[in-house]
Amino acid sequence: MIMRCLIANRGEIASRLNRTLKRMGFFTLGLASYFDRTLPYVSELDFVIYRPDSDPKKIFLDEDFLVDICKKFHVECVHPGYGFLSESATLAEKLAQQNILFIGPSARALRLLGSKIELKNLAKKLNVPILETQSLHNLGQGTIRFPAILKSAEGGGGRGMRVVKNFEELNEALKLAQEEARVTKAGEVFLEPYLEKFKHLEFQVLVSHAGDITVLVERDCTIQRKFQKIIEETPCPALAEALRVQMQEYCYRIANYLKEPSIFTFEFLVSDQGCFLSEVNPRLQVEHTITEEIYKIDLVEIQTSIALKHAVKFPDPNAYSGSAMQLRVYAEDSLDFTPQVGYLTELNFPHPPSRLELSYRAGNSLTIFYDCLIAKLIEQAQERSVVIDRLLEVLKKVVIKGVSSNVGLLIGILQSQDFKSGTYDNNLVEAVLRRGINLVETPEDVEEMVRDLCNAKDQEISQFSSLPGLVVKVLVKNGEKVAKNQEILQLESMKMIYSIKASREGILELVVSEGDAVERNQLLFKIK
Amino acid sequence: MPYLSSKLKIDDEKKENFSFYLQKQKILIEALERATLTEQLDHLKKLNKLTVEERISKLCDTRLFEIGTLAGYRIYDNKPGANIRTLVAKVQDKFAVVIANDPSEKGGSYYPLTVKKHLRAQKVALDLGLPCIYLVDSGGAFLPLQDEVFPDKEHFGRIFYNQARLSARGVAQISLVLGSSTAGGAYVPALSDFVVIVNKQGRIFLGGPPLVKAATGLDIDPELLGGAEVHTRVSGVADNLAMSEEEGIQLIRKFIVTVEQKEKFKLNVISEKPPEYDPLEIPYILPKDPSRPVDSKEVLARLLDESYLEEFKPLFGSSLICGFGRIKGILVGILCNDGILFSESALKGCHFIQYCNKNSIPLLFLQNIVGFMVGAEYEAGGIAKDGAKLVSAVASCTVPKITLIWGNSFGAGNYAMCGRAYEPLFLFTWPTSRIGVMGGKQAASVLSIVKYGSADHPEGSDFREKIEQQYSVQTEALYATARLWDDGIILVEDTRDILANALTLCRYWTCDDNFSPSYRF
Repeated sequence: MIMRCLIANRGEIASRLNRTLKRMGFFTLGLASYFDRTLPYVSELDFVIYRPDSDPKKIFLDEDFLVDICKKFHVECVHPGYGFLSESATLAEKLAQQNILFIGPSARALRLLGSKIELKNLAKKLNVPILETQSLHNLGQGTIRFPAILKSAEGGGGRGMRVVKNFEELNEALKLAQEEARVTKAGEVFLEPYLEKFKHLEFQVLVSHAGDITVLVERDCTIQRKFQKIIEETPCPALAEALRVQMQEYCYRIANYLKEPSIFTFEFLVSDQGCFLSEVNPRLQVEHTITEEIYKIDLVEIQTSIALKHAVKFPDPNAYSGSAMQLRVYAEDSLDFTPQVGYLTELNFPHPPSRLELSYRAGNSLTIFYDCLIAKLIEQAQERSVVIDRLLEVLKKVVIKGVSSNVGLLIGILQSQDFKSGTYDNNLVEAVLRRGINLVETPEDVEEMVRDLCNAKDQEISQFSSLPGLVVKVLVKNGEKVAKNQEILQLESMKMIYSIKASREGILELVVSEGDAVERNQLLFKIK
Repeated sequence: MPYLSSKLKIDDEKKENFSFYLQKQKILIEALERATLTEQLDHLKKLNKLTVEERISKLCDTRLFEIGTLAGYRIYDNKPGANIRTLVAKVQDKFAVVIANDPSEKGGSYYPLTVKKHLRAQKVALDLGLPCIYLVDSGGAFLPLQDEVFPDKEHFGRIFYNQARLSARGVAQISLVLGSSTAGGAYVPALSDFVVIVNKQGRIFLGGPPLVKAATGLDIDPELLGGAEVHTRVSGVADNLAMSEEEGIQLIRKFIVTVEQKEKFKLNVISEKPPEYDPLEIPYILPKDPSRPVDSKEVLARLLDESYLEEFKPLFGSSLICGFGRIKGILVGILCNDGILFSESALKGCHFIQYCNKNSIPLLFLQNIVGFMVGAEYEAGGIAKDGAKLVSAVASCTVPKITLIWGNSFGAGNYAMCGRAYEPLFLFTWPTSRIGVMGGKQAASVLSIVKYGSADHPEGSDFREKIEQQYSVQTEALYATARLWDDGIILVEDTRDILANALTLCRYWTCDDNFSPSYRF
């Protein structure tokens, strides 16, 4: 009989998990809410359970709902992906009660590793360095060292973390955290010293049932904005071998103590004060892809095989080649990173990377219910500089219409000297933004602003606006003769000015005037 | 302006429309899930058999769409689907029609609607010259209903007639025998061009063990009578032996690569673009109350690539929108109702269809029609003959036609807009659609006039209510699809994909007819 596996996730990770699980022989089931119906992953899985009348968030966040689905459709195992309930001990337990396999570690490990405070206690016990928490009781003036960072004990992915530089900010942050704690399951909050300058390095750790523990080469995920990673690379371009070995030994020590078969990611913060274990994630990470590229392995297959108690052969940690990088393309405002919602009228990668993981396609809607990761661009090569060059080529040709994206920021980072040299730290993103980034992301953008209906020499052509905006300047008078590519008017749209040029020569017949607000596909002018 | 624009504002009324759509959708989805994912797995597990869903998913690389998934819904006791799954799929590099018996209930035997569904799938294969893959696992005719399954022309025997003639036309007939293939059913593999049979599981016999016992008094092991070994080594009724279902499916997949598939109808295709407006907004526009009008262009703006519609004769007969647009890059001639049909709209439609016939452009009929205009002025104006011209053009059309009933489909409007009887290549409906000879209220009024002399006669109030109730049930999309009056209820969200798939299949369509219809002027 074929085993049924429910992929309790959506978007690019659902597609990614489906590829491997189908290859391993599973019959894959998935879930979708109304807005997800036309996403790529829905047509890839064997059977998608569609719940348009359910709360879109609840579908992926309600343990009882998932267990009911599993029972109804005779599901034998569940892969939670990342985010959502991937670290839920409750889900693992409820599934175990129904004899359904949860692809991840045991509930015990999920509980222990899910609490950053519990983890710190464990690390201290095993002499692994951590950043000491500062007590939030008796907030006397002298006892707290700033700058500090307020974190919640549970919850991953950088949510709810706030840097505070003084008591006023700390009190503000505490109030907000209390508000959030009512809504999310974030658990208690704690305060940690904030390292002004650091690198974020993490290690993929594989633990088998037979007791084999392998610690692979690190991933450098220092490039973040609002504590969310946007660029990840492996290996770290500027890491002393001794420090690498030291951190790998710490990973081994903890994994050996836990004796939990599964795959884990151990995250460290490294500054000139040393290295500190920050988190251990008992699940697949968004950036697992780059480790796969340099080792030529399939981490989903390894993780699933461990869960199925099959014999697994781990790769040799030294058997990796070259360098790999992943860029996360998010739909967000380039400057303040507010997530964008909208309807994608175009999403195109004319020059695609060697590995492209897509969450959306043209015609899909991005909504407030889910995060706004559009795609992951992954490249691997022997030389790091080649990887960077290839990714820049990809980015420069990307076309995204309907929402704004962080492509401009990604280009700015990849082009910066600090990034190219590899000696960057967590302050690079801000530095790039201060220098200014090109908000008009691709040169083709400007040419794409007009649409003409026919190119025949003697016919009249009409030019339409392909964005809503305001006509801020008209440069040519009605009835005048214009040349091909002559600038006719300027359109302001989404904080950017676009220059609209004549697509051929002729006599201009203006339809709009200065000061007019225009809609998408509105006629601007004709050329006879 | 060829680019359609939208003035949609989401107010309370629109939100109610959306909730209504979700309600209808919920019932539909529940029914579809019961039809596709088997619930009783235990007895199949004991026999070590795959479920029909697993067989289909291993065989097909992509599924274009399923035909008649909910046949028998609320007619038979079984789960919806009438014991058979029929779909158009891509297997390796070929498009094929897959006809798979579902043995999970009543041994996969043929009810009247099972036969109708099997024949419908074969018709699709005939229209498009698509190879047929039969996943045979059925106990044969459902004996308690033999009078509705066996004797007539469009009954069980027709399956084999079609198969023989399809094969004779060069349309490959391929069988995988995964279970019982008894009596008449034995002709499915026997008439196939290529047969794979699964060891110790597939059985082919014209007369099964009970019949042999009754005729000769002998007890015989079914395996010895018609098992895989007998037919692949001795009789030659089957061609290849598979040791497991999976192996059998892989053999079929290897064989299909050798089947020839030629494109016969040229489509005009460019790169696809999404509509400018989100198709997911359509349920806000579909009115909860079927008697309310809808701005059809709001719907078209969310179905067509770039919301682009090159309208034909927009100022004339405006209650029928005719024009050209693309769905996922494929050029199609569109006829879409926007009100009731008048002489002008019928004439325009007729002219448009003729043009598309001459230029090999497939047609898409988007139905939301309650009928033709009534009244002395219009009858005297010749609305009957003008409607007839449109019906004539539709019936003698020489390009492939696809119909989507997205709203109402009543009376002669159904005919003029290419209803089931007019042989569209595929006919789909939306969950909120309705179909009938006329609306319930109208029928109640008419019958009340006949019986009581007036439409609102006080004695007739119960009578009218009963009629309205009856029509309310019989005009529902689920009622229609259960009886295979359409090829399936499709979700608004899936519509672009499914219509594009249907249009892509038009590449394999041929028309043997050379028509010259006469029009009454």
